[in-house]
Amino acid sequence: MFGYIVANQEDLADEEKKIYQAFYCGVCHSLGSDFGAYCRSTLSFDMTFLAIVLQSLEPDPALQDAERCAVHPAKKHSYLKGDCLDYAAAMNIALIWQKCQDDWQDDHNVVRYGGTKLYRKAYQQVQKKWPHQCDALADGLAEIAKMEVRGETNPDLPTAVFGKIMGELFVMDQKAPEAEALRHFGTAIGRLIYIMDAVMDLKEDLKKERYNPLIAMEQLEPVELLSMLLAACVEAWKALPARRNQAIVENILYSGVWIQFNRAHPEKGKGEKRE
Amino acid sequence: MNRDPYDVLGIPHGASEEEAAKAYRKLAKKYHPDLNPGDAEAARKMSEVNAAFDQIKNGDPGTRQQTRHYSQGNERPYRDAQGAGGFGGYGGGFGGYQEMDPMAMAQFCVQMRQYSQALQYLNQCSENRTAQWYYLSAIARYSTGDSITGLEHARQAVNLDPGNADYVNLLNEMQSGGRIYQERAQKYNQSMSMMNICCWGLCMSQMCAPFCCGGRMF
Repeated sequence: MFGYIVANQEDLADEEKKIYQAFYCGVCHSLGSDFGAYCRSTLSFDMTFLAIVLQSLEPDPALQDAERCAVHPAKKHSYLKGDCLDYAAAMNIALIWQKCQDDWQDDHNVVRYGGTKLYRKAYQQVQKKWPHQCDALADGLAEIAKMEVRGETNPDLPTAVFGKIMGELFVMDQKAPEAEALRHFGTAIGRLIYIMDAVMDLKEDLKKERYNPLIAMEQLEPVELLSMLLAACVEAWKALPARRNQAIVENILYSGVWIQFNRAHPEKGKGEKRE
Repeated sequence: MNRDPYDVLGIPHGASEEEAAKAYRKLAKKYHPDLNPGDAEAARKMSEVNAAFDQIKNGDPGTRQQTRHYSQGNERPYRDAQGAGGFGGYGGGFGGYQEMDPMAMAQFCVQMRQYSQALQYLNQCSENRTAQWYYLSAIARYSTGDSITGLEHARQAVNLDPGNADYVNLLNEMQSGGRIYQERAQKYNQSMSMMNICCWGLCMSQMCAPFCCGGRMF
C-alpha cells in the first residue's frame, strides 16, 4: 500500500537531495528516540513526505543535527528534528501496527503476529498522544475490510474511506489555520495511494482471487485515472501556504509517484519520457 | 440480460453476499480482460458477470433504492447539465410525472441538478444500460463525489455512441484536469532532463545554477 510517495532523486538538485535525506534520517531518528531503536526499520517514505509537507507550513525551518547510526556508521550525517518529524514517526508506528494487526487477522501471518506484539507498546504510546488519528485509521480500515468482504464494486467507496483516513493523519494540529486545507490535501494523497496500489496489484489480485476495487471497471485507463487523482493532489497542494521545500514535493507529485508504475508498465510511457 | 444472475455466477439463490463475492472473483480470474488481453469473448463474458453481480448485490428493482451504495460526497454539479440531451420536450407541466419512465425522470433530475434522485431513477432501469443511461449516470455520479465511476461511465457512453458530441464533451471535461497534469508532468521531466544535461560536462555547477535551477512549476 505504501512506498509510492517517493522522490525521484535523480531529478533532485544536490541541495534538495540532502534535505530529502535529512528528513528521512530525521523521521528515523525520531522513531529511535521516541519508540526504541528496533522501531527504526519500520520507516516509510510516505511518512517522510508527511514530515516534509507539515514542516513546509511551519514559520521556521527544522533544526539540523548530525549523528552516526547503524546505517551510516562511517561518518556523521545530517538529520532534521522537530514536532513534524516526531509526528510523522508516530503516524508511521500507527500504520505499521495497524498493518500487522490486519495481516494477522486476514491470513494469520505469523510474522505479522509477532509484529503486533513487538510494536504494541509503541502503538499504545501513539494512541495515547494521538487518539483521533489512531481511531480514524482503525475505523476506516475496518470499514474498508467490510467492503472487501461484500466485494464492493464501486471503486469510489473504499477510495473515499482511505482518502478520509489519510486526511485525518495529515492534520497534526486540528486548531491550526491550515488544518482544513491539509486535510483536503491528505485526502487527495490517500485517494491516490489507494488507487495506485489497486492498479499495481490488479493482475496479481485477479490471479489470486483477492479483492481489488478496480475489478469491475470495464473502461479502465490507469494513466488517465491516476492523472485525474494526481491533478487533485496538485490542486490541493497549491492551496497550502508552503514556505519551503516546494521543489521536493513537486518532484514527488510530478515524477516520483510514477517510478514504480513506469517500471511495471514500460509500454504505457507517461510524461516520464526523457529526450 | 436474460439469464438468471445467480446462474451466471454459479451460486444458489440463498447464497450470502460473501459467497457471491467469492464466486464473482473466481469468474473474474477466468474472464477479466487484464488476464485475457484481446479476447473479445472473454470481455463479453466479464460484462455479463459484472452485470449479474451488480444485480444480485442490489436486490430486486423494488428494494434497489435501499441497497445500492454511493458516495455521500459534496455535490459538484457538472456545469453543462443544461445540455443533458434533448430535454426540451418535458419543459412543461408536472402533472402525472410519476407516470414517466425512469430514464425520462432521471434526465429531468440531472437537468434540475437533483443528482441523488437521478441516481435512484437510473437504478430502476439499470438493467438496460444505453449510452444515454451511462451519460446521465456519469454526470450524477461525478457530481456526487464518485469521480472514478463518473469517468468510467462517461467512457462507456462514448464507447457506445462515439458520434454524440454531448458524450464526448462530458468525457473531455472529466479528463481535462488529468490532461493538464500530464502536460505539466511532461514539462517538469523535460526541464529536469535539461538541467541534468546542462550541469554535467564542462559547466561549473556554480556558473550553471543561476541559469538552470530556476523556473519551478508552481
